[in-house]
Amino acid sequence: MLQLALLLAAPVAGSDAVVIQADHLFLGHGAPIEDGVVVIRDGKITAAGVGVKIPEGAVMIEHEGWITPGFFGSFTLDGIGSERRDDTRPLMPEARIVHSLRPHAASLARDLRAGVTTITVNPDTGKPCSGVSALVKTHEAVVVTAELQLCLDISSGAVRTDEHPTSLSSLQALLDEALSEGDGTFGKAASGDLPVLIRARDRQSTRAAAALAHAHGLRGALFGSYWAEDLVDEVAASGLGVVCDPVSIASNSRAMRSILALAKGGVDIGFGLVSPQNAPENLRVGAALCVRAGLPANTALAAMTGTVARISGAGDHAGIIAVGRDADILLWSGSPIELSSRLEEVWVDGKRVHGGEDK
Amino acid sequence: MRKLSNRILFALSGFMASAALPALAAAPSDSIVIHAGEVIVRPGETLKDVDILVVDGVIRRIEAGIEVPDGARELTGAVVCAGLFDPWSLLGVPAGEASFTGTTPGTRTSDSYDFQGQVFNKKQALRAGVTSARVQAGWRASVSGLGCVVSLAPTGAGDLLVREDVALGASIGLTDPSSGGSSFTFNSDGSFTVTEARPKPLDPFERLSQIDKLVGSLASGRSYRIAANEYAHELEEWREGITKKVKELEKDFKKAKKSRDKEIEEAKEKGKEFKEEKYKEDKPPRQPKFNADKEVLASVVNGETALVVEVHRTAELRNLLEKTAQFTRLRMVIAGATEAEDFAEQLAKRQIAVIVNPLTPAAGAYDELDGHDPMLAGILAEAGVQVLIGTGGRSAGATRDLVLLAAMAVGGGMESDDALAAITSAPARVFGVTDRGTVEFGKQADLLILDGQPLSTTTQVLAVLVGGRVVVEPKE
Repeated sequence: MLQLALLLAAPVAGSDAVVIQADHLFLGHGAPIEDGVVVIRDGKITAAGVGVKIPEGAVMIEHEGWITPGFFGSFTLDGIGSERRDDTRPLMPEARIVHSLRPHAASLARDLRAGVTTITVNPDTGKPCSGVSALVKTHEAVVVTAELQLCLDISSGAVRTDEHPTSLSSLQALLDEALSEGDGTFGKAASGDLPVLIRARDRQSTRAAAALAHAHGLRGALFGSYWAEDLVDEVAASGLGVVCDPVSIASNSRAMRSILALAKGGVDIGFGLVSPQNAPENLRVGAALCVRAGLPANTALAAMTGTVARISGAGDHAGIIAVGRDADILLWSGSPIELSSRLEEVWVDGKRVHGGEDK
Repeated sequence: MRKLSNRILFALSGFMASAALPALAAAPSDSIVIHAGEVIVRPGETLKDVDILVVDGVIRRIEAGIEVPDGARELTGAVVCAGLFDPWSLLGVPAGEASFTGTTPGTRTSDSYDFQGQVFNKKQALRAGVTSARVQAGWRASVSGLGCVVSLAPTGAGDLLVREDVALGASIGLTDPSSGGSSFTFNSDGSFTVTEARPKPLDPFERLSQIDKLVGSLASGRSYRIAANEYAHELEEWREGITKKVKELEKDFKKAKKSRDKEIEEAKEKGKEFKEEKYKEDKPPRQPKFNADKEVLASVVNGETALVVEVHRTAELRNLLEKTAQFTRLRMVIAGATEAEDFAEQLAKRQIAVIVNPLTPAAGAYDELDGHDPMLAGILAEAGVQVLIGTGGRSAGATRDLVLLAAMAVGGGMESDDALAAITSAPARVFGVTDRGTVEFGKQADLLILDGQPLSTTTQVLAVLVGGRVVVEPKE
């Protein structure tokens, strides 16, 4: 009802281009573009913005509402079931979580319906080094990258009572040593070739993670924002982005304050998905709560798309609408920041995979 | 200087009234004129460019170009609407009482309500525009006792508690959250992280037996009321009987006295004890034993007090609706109603209001919530059911975010006016607190001054009035 196939009523065929025009087009960064156009051919975006050349014979779709990139789900345990955890040894840098991925997991389909088109599949936190995460598209569980981030945990959650490391200081020393030796996966992280995701869950570990990143020139993100409110300068100096703890209804006001302070302090922030525990539908509830607390709406949108993909090490693959990228886009009735807006269609690789049936 | 005095005033007024002392600051007799770009009189009915005159805490006039009385305060905003009302809240109930399972129908939430406490949460909720709430202790119990309606900001001594017996709370088939077992990880800062396994739901037949128990309680309330009525009737008859007998006896007083004296004499002679003549009027009817729980159940069956039942699954909804149909005066409200879609028509027909919480629950949280559908509120409203939106009565902090839940319901297909009504006028009507909920002449001035439409994420609450008192001050 809200859209019109102007030239062709037939289903989107073969290599014909599809052109979608929307009242508002958010590219994954910056400000939304009024009356923006996205041109899609062979599953890829061939043009996006205003004043772009419309290919002849293209299927034209006019969308009353918003277009955004597919949402990016940073930190999920989707599709790995009980394989999330291995407590046999503290450092497992070569362990690839992708080997545990079950492509038919219900949580992947659930993510997709909520507009989350790409996720990071992570080994669970609670170990000094739990392995390497993967970048996965939620539609058909396509593995984009099997080696996305080196996953570290520098918080008390990774301290053991019965095996090394048994204290926060030995945990820090253990990670420091592994990064200094520069072998294998740790070496890739230390040289900046492989991004990291460092779990922090309190003040000490937030500070320790920032220091570790600073000392070894790591890039990537800290995972955990709740205690960062008064550590913004240290986090900013570390060069890491922050994948924020999920915020939802009834969240303590500190959760929002910390995120606001980080954004204000120039730190790149992204909203963590932490699926399947958290419902993917609630990703933008957290964004709305932060906007209500004062976060600029465009920053909040980017924290679910472009920025969060970039700090999660997936900046080359997901999160933005740009020429040459997979056409993974969402069609909304209004701004996703407004919870009264509806997700009407999910497109992956240039094809509508969810919604739009009863129009 | 002005900023400082405002702050002190706010702090004082909050403290004074919450300590149940006479209000010293910001006398509500002060008049306020609000210049509004748009007034949402009730959802769906708006007035453009009008002023609102508030005197003595009550809305006195709504029209264009009201002359500002001497000394009246002036406030300005793009949109003015009624203060929000959370019909399913836990705000202000201490944690122990909130999850207490020993409640009975006579337990009153107002007895446990912390009027002085949870100040931060209450302030946050007020700043977000929530001015009233129905709170209910004992959510884990199958019968939680009487919930109350509270005002989140005092309008003066005693006004915090708006109604103390607004509805009897009950629940069917809720999973015991502690049944899953949990593990604790201690963090270095002294806090701890709880990881919970999925709690085990009650056995299906056990759930249904809770309905029989509830219906049995209601029936006992009905019997209690019948017995009380019979007693009142018998008592009246008895009194009439006495009056009649006394008159009869008075008429033949001399003769009766003579014969009585004679009988006393005779008894004396025979060495026997004199026995007074017994009349059937001597024995009063037996008064039924007072029972506080049954008093409450009786008033529920009679429709004097509402009944709010939290119930989610299809089987339980069907059984509850079937088995309560016999109570024709019952004013039932269903809370949660996760799988109520198939009952929409019946709910509408029986005028049973439903309180929906549109928030998608965490995956694998509780069995009864697995059927969550973000479109439920819209589907029910479309079918003509009176839908209220509430924060779920589990978390005191959630009341702050009531407006986002209403926006979510719109995202799930509910009409925007219905969603706003679901957090303003509808709860006020359903729970019989009709002095609020709309912006009309004579209503208590619980008003929000906003810079945009109430359900928008980007709208800021500029100021909040409760009972005509400015409890959230506009930023300078």
